[in-house]
Amino acid sequence: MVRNQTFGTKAAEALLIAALALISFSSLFPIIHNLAISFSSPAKAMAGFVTVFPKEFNLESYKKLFEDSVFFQSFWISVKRVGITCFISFFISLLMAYPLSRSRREFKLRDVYMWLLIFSMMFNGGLIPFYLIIRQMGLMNSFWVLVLPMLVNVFNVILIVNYFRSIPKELDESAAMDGAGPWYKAFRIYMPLSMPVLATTTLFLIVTVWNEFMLGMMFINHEDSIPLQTYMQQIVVRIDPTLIKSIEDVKRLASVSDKTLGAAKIFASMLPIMLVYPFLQRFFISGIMLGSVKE
Amino acid sequence: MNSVTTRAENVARPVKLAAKPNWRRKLKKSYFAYLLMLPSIVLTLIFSYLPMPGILVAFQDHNIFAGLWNSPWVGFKHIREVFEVPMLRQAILNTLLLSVLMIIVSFPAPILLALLMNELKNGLFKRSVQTLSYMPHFLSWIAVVGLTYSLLDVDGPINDLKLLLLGADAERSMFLSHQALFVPMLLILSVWKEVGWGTIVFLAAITSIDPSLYEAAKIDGANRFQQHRHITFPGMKTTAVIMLIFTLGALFGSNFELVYGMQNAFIDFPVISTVVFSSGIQQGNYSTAAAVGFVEGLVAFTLMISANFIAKKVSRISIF
Repeated sequence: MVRNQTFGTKAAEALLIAALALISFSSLFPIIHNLAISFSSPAKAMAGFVTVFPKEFNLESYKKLFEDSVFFQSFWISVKRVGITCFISFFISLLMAYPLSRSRREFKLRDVYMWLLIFSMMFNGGLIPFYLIIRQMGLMNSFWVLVLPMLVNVFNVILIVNYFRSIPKELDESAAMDGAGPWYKAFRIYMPLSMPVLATTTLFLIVTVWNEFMLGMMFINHEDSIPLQTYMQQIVVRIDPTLIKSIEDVKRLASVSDKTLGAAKIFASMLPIMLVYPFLQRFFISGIMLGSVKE
Repeated sequence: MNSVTTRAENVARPVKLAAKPNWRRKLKKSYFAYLLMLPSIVLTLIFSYLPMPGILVAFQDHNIFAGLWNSPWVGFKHIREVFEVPMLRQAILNTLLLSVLMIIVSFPAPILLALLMNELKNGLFKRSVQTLSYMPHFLSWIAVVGLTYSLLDVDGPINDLKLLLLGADAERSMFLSHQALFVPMLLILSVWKEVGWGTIVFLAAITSIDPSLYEAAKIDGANRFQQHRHITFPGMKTTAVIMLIFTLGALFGSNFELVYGMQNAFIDFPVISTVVFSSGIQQGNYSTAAAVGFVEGLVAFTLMISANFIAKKVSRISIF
């Protein structure tokens, strides 16, 4: 093996490590840069002196952030939305998955319902028909428009179904022998055994629901009831085309807006995801693979 | 996914020994199943199936007060408009252009990165590279757009880098308002966000290749490159083809957040999804927007089916 360590392979290895280190760094850099700006003084941040480390470290922007009631209002709406959606979705996905995981002998129309779900994932009427239906149902400006359309996540249901199917049939049979009915089997045997996949799907759903902003943008007109990402969309994509006539206008608008406060808001909006990420990471590789395993 | 199980059960059926359940037990069983599925089925019907007839809006002059069945029908008027109104035609061309570029750039990127990652020995460095490169996938597009704005600021780090490379007297650019830089920027951002995440399936595919194949190849004198050419690539083929079919199917309608977030007064780059949003939801031209959406759906469907068909013919791999 010593003979293998020629100069060529060593150089190739160094190049490889350098390339991957660069890629990792570029994944992290925008976030660090943003964080550094949020902790810097507005003057230094505006003048572009901040790269990786904060200049004139201070917490001014976070103080301002805590006084921003609109930000916290929408933050709270997002938290509420994520909590309620994930709680309800946890149970109805579990309930949906159990019958679908039965054999066709036990549940004859299983495949029909499976296809009902899969078809809805692949095809939809498009944005306009969806918008018109929501309007007709009177869900405009309602908190529930943020929750209801996100409850059935077909991908998550399929993950749970596949996991249920991988649980040994013998367990099911011996429970039935001992007199366990379907309710008992579903909630006392399958649910506790499936905690890994249920954790995966719940974490995925937290991220999806937290990051979703279209529903709030389309269906909610009151500023005090939009979720956080919709609020962020309004301040980030802030350049209103009607106000801008020239490059000078852009510069002027940019200079009035508070860069450090904006950075603090962006960071705060990402924070829940970053807090969930370490847990998520433990699950998602196995989670993705669960979905692709064929029986 | 279903067909595999189904076949196995068909074989097992003749040896079924259990007593035939009487009708009451049968009813009780299915009653249980339907009761459990009720909430999910109802929600799916309401939010996925109920809107589907609404696509007919594309074939009428939809009046929101008259409703779907009382608005005047106009046949293919709005579908024709999609191809005749210059802005809509432009949107379709832009979407096609962006989709083709996305396939060329974003699809091979995770495969390349997975190959690079695979060369690393398992250890702290490999785990760190994975952890860091997966992370952007979980950030929202809005956050990514926000981060990009501050990176590309006139006084931002990218301009600092430009000055560093070109000398201090080079001009600082306003990257965000350059029409020519818009598409490359979309490509870079989508690669930045999704490349790490995309490697997971390919790394799994590489890991599942039998290591003895590589040993045999080494003994036969194959070098690193030849090993990849004849073992790794064929081993990843199934995964790659399936991912490609999925990507093609999802591609055409996607990118709304990205394009919508990055566009500004100086950028003129409408794509189908942004046109549907601005003309339909914001201006209330439901019929025109629905027609654009209809054409988009048709193209996406055709793309997916033909990709599936070609893949089936060429490599016997398909998703249905």
